[in-house]
Amino acid sequence: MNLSNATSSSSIRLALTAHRWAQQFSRQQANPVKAKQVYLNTLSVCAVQMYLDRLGIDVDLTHNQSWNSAQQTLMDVADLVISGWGVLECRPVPPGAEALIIPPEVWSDRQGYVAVQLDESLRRAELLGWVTTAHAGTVPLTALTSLDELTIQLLQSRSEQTASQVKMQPERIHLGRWLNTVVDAGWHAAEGLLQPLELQTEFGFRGDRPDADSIDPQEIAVARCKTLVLSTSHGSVAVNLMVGLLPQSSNETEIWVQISPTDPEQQLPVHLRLMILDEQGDDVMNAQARATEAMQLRFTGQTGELFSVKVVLDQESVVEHFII
Amino acid sequence: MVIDATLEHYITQLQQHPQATEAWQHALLALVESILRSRKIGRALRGNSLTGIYLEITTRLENWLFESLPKAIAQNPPAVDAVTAWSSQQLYYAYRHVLSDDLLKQLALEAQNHPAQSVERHHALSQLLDAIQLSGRLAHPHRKTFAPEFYELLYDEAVNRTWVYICRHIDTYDPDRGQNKKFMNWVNFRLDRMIIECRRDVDEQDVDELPSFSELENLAQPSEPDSLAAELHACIEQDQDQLFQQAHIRNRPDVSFQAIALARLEDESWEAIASRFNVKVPTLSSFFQRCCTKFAPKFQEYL
Repeated sequence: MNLSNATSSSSIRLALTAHRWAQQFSRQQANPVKAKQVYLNTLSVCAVQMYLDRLGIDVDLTHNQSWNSAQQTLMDVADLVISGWGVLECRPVPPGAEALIIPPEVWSDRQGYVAVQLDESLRRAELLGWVTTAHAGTVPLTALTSLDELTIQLLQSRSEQTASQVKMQPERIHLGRWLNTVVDAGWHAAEGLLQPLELQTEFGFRGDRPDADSIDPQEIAVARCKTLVLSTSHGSVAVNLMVGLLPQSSNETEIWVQISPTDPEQQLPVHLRLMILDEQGDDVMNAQARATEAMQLRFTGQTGELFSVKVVLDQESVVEHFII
Repeated sequence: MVIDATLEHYITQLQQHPQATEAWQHALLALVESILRSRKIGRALRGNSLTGIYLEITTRLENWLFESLPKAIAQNPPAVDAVTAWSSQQLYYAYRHVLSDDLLKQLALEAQNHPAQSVERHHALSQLLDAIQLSGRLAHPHRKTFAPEFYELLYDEAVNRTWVYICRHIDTYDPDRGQNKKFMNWVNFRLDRMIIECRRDVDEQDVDELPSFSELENLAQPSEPDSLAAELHACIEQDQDQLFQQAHIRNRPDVSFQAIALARLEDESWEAIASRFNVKVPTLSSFFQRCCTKFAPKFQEYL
């Protein structure tokens, strides 16, 4: 027994999952040489996928050419697509071999090539190392770069992805802070200006719909107003966005959203739409101005919930993001 | 072998010089250092000095080897050409003795100290997985319930899943929980659950069907006359939408995807095709690979 091979953390146990995939694909090849090739290629891809799994890197195997029977038939391919990083080719190294062989059909469009040594029993795979180019098809095992470098690259790329995802979060107004008399930049206090209007929702709404008559405007604990400007092909249009809060319980708040013209003599543009979007950006509530003085939507939300208010005119839109 | 000769030299020195003499001590020190050079556990992250748990593990391995090597040489000396294997064996025994539950726990805590997907955490986790295996403390739950060959397969599958669990959920390990607060309880408990989970996915008959490398040559293949390869060949040859012929290397309408694909399906080598068309292999193969990707939805449609 080669003790070092059995216990290294880059040593992978090939059990039922890997062999099942290998069998499934190789059975589709009548040519025994091709069947063997597909079997070994599949085991190698599985070995690398299991290694990545431990690193916390998920991969979708269905993106691989190596997971497609027609592609397997046409090419000697063992690719693994790692989103946000590139394509890794996982080449099987037979027991006792001294070099990594890379077939011509995978010499291009690959970020790297990993040498996956298989033992005679096909129950153990060892990730020996990798190279970044195909070197015209033959790489002595002694010339492989350490797997650690690949691991570091993958981990760093994954960290960068997570960081950029976090950066892409829009700035949100914390409505809860309004109850502490915070006034965000661009907004001003508007208590007393928010009056219940007849509701004009066209489509579905979330939660209970408060009845206009039953609301005492005094209950609106806090309201803020901000001017939004939409630049359309017909010129700029300014509207006032008012948001009011009626806390219902320790974690539920009723929220009023109103759009009205900045000039009280005017009416809202006819095709102006007001939409409430949920955390996923899906439209959960909307209304369209039809030569009205104002539009108002009301809904109830939980503390911590995210939503956005979107005002649309022609092709132009302005979005404000909130967290309750 | 260079390594063998060096180790042999030190062992000979130890056998020749009386115990505790300076020459003897030098030889022992050199032997211990040589053996430790190939250790897997107790290594610092590349570019860092040896500190913390990694240093502690190395120190304990060192101390154990200092104590046990003289006895081993006296009682069970290596054969002349088996020195490297003998040394590996000594290191293996050292792991078994030194890697206590407490050291494993400290590796786990080291991993927790670093952010997820950081290089430092990955280093600690790989050392941890290696250490668990080398310590001999990984249990074999339910072994008596199954036939040995079947259990081996079940066990491997369960260990794979356990490793993933440890790596992805190391933050859920609480060193203060549990009766005797042993780290391996957390691991072995998970392994036990995985065996049960895997049992549902594995059939007893599956074991016989796993081929070894040599047996792959004789895989039982489907006897259907129309294999996937034959269908693909027909599809590419017929080229009903004229796609495969029209995709060709620039300025060479004769070097079409169709021509290359049919040649490859008929087992012609890249060198032969390249020579026939007088086009270099990398040009042919990358063109071919990109066409395969491009036409993948078409193949899906046709077949």
